[in-house]
Amino acid sequence: MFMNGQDKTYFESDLREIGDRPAAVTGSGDSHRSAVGDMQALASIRLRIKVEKKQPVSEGGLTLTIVLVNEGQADITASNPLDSLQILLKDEEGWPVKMPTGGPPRALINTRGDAPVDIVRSFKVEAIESSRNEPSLLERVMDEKFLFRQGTTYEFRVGVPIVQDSDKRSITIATTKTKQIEKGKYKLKALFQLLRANDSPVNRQFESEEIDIELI
Amino acid sequence: MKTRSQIVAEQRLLLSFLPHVRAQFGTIPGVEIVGLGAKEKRGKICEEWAFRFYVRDKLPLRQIPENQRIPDRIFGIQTDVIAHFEKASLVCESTVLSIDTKGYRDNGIRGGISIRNEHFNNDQPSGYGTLGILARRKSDNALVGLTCSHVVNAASESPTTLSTKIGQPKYWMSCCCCPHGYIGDVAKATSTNDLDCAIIDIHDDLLDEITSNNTENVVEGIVGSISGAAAIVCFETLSKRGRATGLTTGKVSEVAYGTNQMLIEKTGGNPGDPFACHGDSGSVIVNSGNQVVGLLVAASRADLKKVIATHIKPVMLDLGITIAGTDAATIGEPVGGGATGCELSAWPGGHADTALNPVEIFDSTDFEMTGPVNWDVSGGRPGAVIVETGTQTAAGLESISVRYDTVSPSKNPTDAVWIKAAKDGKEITKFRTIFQFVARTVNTSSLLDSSNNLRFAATGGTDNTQCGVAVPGTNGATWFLAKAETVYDIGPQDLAWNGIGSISFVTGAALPIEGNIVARRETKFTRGDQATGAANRTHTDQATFISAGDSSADDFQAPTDAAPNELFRIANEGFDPTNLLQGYLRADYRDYLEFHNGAAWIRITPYQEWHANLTATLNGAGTAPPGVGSPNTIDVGASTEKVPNEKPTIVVTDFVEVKPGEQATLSVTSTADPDNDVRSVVTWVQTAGPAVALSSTTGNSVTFNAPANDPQLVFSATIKDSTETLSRTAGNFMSDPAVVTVNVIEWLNRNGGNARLCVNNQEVFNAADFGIGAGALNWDVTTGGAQAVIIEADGASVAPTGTVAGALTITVNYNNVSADATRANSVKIQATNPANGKVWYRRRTVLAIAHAVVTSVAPGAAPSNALGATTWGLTFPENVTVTICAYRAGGNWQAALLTARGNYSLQSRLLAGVTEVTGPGGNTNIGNFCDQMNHLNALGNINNVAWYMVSAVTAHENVHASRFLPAFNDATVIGVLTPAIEALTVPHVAGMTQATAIAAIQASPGFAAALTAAQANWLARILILVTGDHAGGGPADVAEHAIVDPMVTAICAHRNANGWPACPPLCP
Repeated sequence: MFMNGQDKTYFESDLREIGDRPAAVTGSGDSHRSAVGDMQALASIRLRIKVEKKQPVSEGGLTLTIVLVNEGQADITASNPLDSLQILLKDEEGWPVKMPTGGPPRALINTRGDAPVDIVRSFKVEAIESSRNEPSLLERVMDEKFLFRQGTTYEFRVGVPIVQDSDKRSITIATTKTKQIEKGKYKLKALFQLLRANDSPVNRQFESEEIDIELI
Repeated sequence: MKTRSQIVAEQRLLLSFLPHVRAQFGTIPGVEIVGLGAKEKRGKICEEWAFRFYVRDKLPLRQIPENQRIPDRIFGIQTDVIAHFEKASLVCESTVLSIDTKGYRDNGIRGGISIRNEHFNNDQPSGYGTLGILARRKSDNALVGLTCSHVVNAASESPTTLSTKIGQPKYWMSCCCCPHGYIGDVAKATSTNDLDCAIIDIHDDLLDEITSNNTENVVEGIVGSISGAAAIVCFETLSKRGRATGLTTGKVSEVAYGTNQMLIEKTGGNPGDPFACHGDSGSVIVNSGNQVVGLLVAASRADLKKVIATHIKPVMLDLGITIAGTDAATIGEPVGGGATGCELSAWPGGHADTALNPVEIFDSTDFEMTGPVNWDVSGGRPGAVIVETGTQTAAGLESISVRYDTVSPSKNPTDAVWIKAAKDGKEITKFRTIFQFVARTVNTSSLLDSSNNLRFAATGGTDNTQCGVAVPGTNGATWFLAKAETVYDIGPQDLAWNGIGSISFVTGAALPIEGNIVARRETKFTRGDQATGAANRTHTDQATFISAGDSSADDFQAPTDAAPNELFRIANEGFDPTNLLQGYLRADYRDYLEFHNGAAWIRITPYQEWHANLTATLNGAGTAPPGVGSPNTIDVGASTEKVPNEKPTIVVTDFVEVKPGEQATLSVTSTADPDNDVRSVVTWVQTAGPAVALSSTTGNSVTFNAPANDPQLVFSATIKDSTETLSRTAGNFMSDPAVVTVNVIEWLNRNGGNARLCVNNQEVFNAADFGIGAGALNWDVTTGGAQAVIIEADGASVAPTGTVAGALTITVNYNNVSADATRANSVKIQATNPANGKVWYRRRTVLAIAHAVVTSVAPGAAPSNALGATTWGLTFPENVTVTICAYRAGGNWQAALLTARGNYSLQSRLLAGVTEVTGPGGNTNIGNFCDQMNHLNALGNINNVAWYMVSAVTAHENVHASRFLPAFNDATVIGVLTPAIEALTVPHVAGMTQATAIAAIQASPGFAAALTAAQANWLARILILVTGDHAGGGPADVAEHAIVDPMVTAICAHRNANGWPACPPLCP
């Protein structure tokens, strides 16, 4: 579903880019030239978020879609965007509703050799689709790298069926206990980093605005 | 014993004196009333005349200044000093006498009987008065009853109310609402300071009884009918008949008490009984000829022995009535020595040189006569001359000119000249006090003004053959005298002027009017010169004296270039020092007074002559020529004669505020002297506060160091002019003190203006420290800079406010920075003690304190992520903790972020099946050393790794950890966290403290959400910064090699030392 603008029941907006660019991009020398190239490549990717503002909780909890559009003239390989996606929720009173403790992001995992990495996400990836109708994209959900073909739009639809079952006021304490996300009004915010896949320091950091949604 | 006609004649004369006695002596302090009547001796009146002075307090003579004493005699008449007494009106009150309460309606109402108005419908003896007599209203000849206004309108809204119903003996209503006793309604009532009278329209129903019983001219108890009305005569025996005391007799003790009244004192009967009492008001006073002479209105409150009655003539004139056929116009004057009387004035004279005694012209019309009359000026003091006849009498002249050649020795009218005009049996006399001015020695300002020391420069040489005097240049004008005063004495002193006040001089009058006196001065300049080698010779440049015009204060007291007095300066006298050597200048003066007699200015004093010699001083070295170099001289003056002098004035900066320990400066703004006198240096004296040491006690600017506490100090500055020994008025040489108040105010800097300084920007003030008395104070922080609010009173939180009433302590919060360090922009914490009105205050300058959130990251947090099966290590941002404070903002407590810390977990391990390499001496041996070296060197990146070092894994994690603080300090983390925290507020509630406010904020969802978001933002930024850490040969590899490489080297060395087999390529 591709819609422009907003209505009373649907929200779609570009993610806002935040943060400073890495020093390498503004430096000089070979690394600089490489970084500039990477930057130019990443710059051609546009990110959006789409959310139904009223969602039935019975259909798997909260669902949102991150949209990446490679508007450039070349294919781009980047780190798996789901590795850096963070979803922040607040309930109607403003209390944070914490996502389940998933596995750490891949970039922080210290492994050796070709050993498989256990990637556990705090959300459920429900679908990955492209405007080219590339097949079996969902199978690549745990891949370290992701290819974004030129002129192609990719939609990563993720769901939040469960959240931590913790005392609201115990904000510094993580718990492994979870519960189904409940009906009610929430504020949703997504954090996202777009990372070059070649260990380049080039990256782009994004965030959405706070989006009012209601699980019914 | 005097006959009645003698008494009448004396009374007439003395009553004509009375206005002048009142004018001349009525203003003596303490005198309230001056009357004419009988002399009192030992408390009893006797048949001797006296001017009776009523004073508030009778004082011993020694306590009364000489010029405030009442003469023993005035116009030859004794004086009596009588203590003031309070008056009481005699309408009947609830007690006392009630001689006659019966009704007369049926047998003819008459004078001397009881009446009461409609407002007293009861049986109480209140509100009764007396019907004085029946009279006739002139306008309609209607029968009316005469009484007092306070009788007919007792208890009315106003004493002048009309139509009040009057009854006899009282007005009352029966149970059937029928009126009883009604005799008529009030037709006119007058109540002023001079008159208290009324008439009642007698109701028609009563007229027949009055006529048939012939009571119209009857006063009950008085034998015979009333025959008319007449003027009072002193010492006469009188009668009255009133409701309270009935028929009593008394004697006139004062014919002129106030304007229209007389005093009567009881004679006969029981000595203790009064002449009148409450209920007798309205009675008429009847003389021995059965003539009504007065209307009784009041008595002395204390003993009722002095009864006050109004002369009947003004009563009759006011009410428009006749009594027993007598019209008021036929009653002779005077009745009470009212405002009119004969004229007493003052006129100059008394000089032997009669030319100095201006004549006064009288016309017969001045004496209420017309045409030729006979004149006589021989009465009173001698010395008056009728110019037309050269004697003291003149017959048949319409006007005369009188010159007074003798000064009156005193202002007492007894010492006045009498000018009497007579015609057709009528005589009227005017009185003149003759005054004279006598000049004292002239007083120059040589001691008063340095300009009088002017000496003209001698030029051209050093001896009398060479030098001359350079008097002002061609176009110049030089002052040589600033002031010269002639003081005149006037005799007699304290003279009243036409009976209306003290004599005064007019300066600058637009038009000359009769009686004005002006001071004049004339001068002429004389110069002297000497030709070389010749004897002095003089000549006069001005043949006659010239006048500088009328006197004025500017002319004589303080001439300036703008308003010069040409008598006091030289303008181009034309001396030529080259030809006229040893010249000098002399200014001759003559002073005199002129009096305006209505037609012209007449000189009334001899010339007062004096002169000033102006000399030269030597200009250069050498021997002064004779007469050169001496100060100016003035032939008269420079005497010890006191002169009139105005005080110098001084203006200071009247308020100074300093800090403790700071240097304070007391400053004179300006000084001046109305007389242009030379002024001394300013003298300073401390008059209040802890003693301080002034830098000097004299000078226009002195300083001191403010004491350490914060008291109020008061100083006064004075200045003297140069007349300390010359001023006529004692002390007038010194200015009034100019007061300087110095507040030594504690003025400190305080941190504030930064909301995060939740603790440091508060300060407690205690009432006891303000030194304005015990008890709770009223506080106000609104009168200075607007940086402060009061947030606590007596330890309890209050909604932020600028003022608090009645607190022993307050806590002030400085939430804004002072615009600058000036006093005007400082916070003023002011306290007022409501018990005594004292005020004190302190100041604070609020300084901004830069403040940054202190950030840190720390390991040791419990890991939220278990390590996966293939994971060697993980460093993860677990949470964010902060410390905050809270401060009052409006009705809320607002959070401020103090510190923020990112807490992370760091895990490192060797996977199962991997053994820690402990090296030579440890677990390294000939069988495994090569595997150890290879596994270490590959950083574990080989299949089936069996050997590694956990410290290398930790080093790897530390590389990641090193990114955590930069990430935490990134704008996407701390830059978001700070405003999120500092936007948090909780509303203030009663009793909430900073600690409870902080706890409330920390318990809020916004606080939790801010920290949760911070952790997510931190992680996001970490993911950016750790990019590349895992690159081959990247930072993590470098860190691990730094651990494992030394171990590899050590193992290789050990292999070499022990001859173990080669392990290529690491240890070939």
